[in-house]
Amino acid sequence: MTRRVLLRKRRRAISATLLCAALATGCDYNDIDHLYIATGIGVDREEHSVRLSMDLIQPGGAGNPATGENSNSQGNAPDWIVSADAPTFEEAMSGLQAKLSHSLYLQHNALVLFSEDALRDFSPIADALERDRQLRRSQLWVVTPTSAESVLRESTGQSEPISLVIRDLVDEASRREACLASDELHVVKALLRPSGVAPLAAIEEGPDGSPEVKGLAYLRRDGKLDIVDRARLLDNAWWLGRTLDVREAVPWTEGGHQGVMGVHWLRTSTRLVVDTSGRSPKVRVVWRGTGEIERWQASEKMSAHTFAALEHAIREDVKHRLAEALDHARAVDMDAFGLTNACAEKGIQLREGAWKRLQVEYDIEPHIVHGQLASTTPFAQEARGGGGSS
Amino acid sequence: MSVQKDDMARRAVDVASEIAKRLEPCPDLRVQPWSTQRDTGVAVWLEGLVDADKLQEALLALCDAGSARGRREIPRPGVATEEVGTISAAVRAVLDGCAVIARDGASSAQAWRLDRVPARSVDRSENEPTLHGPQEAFIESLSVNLAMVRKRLKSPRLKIETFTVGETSPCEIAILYEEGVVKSDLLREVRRRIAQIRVDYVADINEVREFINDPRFSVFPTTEETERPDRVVAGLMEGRVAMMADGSPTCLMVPVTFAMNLSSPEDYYMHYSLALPLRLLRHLMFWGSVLLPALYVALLTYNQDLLPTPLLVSVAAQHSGIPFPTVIEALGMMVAFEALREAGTRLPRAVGQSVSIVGTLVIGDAAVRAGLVSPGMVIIVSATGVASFTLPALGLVQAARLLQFPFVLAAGLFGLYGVLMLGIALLGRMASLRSFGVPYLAPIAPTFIRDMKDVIIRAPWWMMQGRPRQFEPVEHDRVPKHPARKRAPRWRWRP
Repeated sequence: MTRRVLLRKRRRAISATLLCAALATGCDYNDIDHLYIATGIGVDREEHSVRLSMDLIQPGGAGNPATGENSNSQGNAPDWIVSADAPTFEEAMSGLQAKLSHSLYLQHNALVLFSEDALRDFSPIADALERDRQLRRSQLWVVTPTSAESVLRESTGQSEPISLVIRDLVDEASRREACLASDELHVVKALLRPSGVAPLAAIEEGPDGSPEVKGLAYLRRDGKLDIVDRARLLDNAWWLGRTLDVREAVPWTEGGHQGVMGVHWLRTSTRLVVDTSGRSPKVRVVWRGTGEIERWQASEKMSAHTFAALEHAIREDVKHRLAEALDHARAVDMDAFGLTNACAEKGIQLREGAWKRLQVEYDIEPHIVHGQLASTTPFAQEARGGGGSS
Repeated sequence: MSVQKDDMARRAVDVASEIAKRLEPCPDLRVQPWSTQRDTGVAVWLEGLVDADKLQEALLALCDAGSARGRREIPRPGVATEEVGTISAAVRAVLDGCAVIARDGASSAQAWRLDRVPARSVDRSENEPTLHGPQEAFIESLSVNLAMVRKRLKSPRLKIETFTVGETSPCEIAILYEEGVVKSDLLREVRRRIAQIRVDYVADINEVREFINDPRFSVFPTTEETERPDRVVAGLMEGRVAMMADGSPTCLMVPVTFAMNLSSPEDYYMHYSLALPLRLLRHLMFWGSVLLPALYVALLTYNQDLLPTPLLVSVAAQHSGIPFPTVIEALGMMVAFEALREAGTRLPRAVGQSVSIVGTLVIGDAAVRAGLVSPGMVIIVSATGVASFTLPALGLVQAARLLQFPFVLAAGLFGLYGVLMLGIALLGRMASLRSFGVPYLAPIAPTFIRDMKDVIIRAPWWMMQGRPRQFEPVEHDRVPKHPARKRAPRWRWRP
């Protein structure tokens, strides 16, 4: 093969490659200046329509690092909210785009905030969110009992877009209670399992106008929602898996006085074991926790007897909390803790509602490390019993 | 008596006038008659190229000796002499800094080498500075440069061959090699390529490089350029060939590989454990200097989803109000940076530094404040410049400077896909390059496991007993192995 032929072939190959490259990607050009970057979507349901509120980054609002101007000196917010109504989710998205002078960029969307009403007719919205190829599967799905638009619009004093604030808020909370990590992939996966219930983080607008974690919400595949407030969050979090670095006040009786002791759980884990040896399946809740007692004042020196009593009190408290959470789930008819799933994994298909009649027993082993037991402060006497002795 | 063609005239005056005729107008040509009891003649030389004092001494000695001995031949003074039989040869000798001594009635003249060619003294290396190790660098005199190599490599096997290149202005080119180490095919190929050079004059060895390079169109350097004698000696001991030209302070060495361009002489003078992170850094910096602006452009124009959201928010804030598309902004900044770098190089050192400082600080800051460029782009282009400054080989720096432009264009047209495609094409091109028959990416591709000791890492000297196999040296072992010699037992302290 002569050199000229070789060169000609090579030139053709290069031309073909460049042409393919141009056809493959050339149309996706989108300079960063020509994008409206969405960081969050609020979904509200009105009478016969879906109302979408999009949280968009306002580049000027974040200040210009070159000139040293920041958002506060400019008086601009780092983001702005655009809303649109339409009968369907897709039409509402088109309506939003129609209001914007640049294309909407959804690939950095970090949050979908549903109002309680929006979840009533949940399936079409979930379907639309799942189908949109721009949206990441890692975006958080979060519920608010009020209006999503008002949470996004009325939150004030934030130095970064409100959606990112909410995402960080939930991320931080989920570091302690793993069940709050309600990203789309996990939620959809949970909804598709036999129990058909997924836990979602619930947030609301706090008294100072900034968002805060309200608790945990259970979403059933049919759109039924149950919100568990923060007071009962730990009980549910224990059912749903790991917790790290959480604190709990445990009732404690000493010498006829009723008080509380502070327990710092370094880590806890819970798993469900289905026992099929009997006539009917039995679920054993295996709870393990390692913690330390942070606040406790004994009138006497610590002895094995006192310590055993402390551990017994803790065990009873954990059992009580788990049982209470289960009772609540049974009451609202929501298999929030996946009892049906656990049975299905063992090959036992339960009929609808049969999970409520399953026999549940608790295997609780708190492991208290002694590190903090000996520590007292000059205020220990006043703080005895948590200050609430009766 | 007139001079016939190029033959030496019988009368010395005619010889002098013919030389003057060929060189005229030539105000610095000097002609001085001399005479002894028996002979007369003229001396012809160029003022400035010849040491006048030595010439006068030599002429006096000539007159005295001629008178005393009374013989017909011109006596030889205590300097290097050469017989010249033609006018052309005499003219060349005069131009070469010799004094031509012509005698009446003789058929040839003598060229006395009394040259006093202006040359600077040996100085520190400016282009390849190091903290440790030898500091001296070549100068513009071939004889001095050869002496500097000989001073370091006291081996009888060091051979030096000279060639003359240049039709109008002949230039002496020396090739150096270690006999018994260098592959004979390589040596033959070097000789062949130098002999084929057709050029009117050679100003610098870098002109020779373009004639002997393997690929005609390649931005990558396939010859190593150095001004350090220690580096040349190291190359010769590896089985490579060095080339020097008279009047050039630079030495070329062949063959060279890509990895060699990323090693610095200092790697061999510092502890081997320190050389590893520095070499890794240089490898990273090379690709950084080529790809950094392109990746930035691709991420901002096509692949924004790859940026973390807070970074995207920050970049979007920086970019708001910039009137140019990112790719134009990047190209503009890169051109501006290159212009500043060029200005800093061309201007006198003191002024050049001021230009660099003013350019980078004042103009850059003003451009950002004026909203012409974003701070992120300034950082990226500056980081690219800094990355290229870490590369020890000037040829590779220039390659990186050139390559970043097509990569930015590819990123602006096709995003990361374009960068990837061009990157693959570039790697393919690099893999196809040869330097005097040695694959450019050796010892990585093709792989020479044993030679990997001196690519990314620099193994301790006691582990590098062999010469690089990629150069196919005749003697692979640096030191001949003695089968009978056993390793001495490790010394132990016994109280």
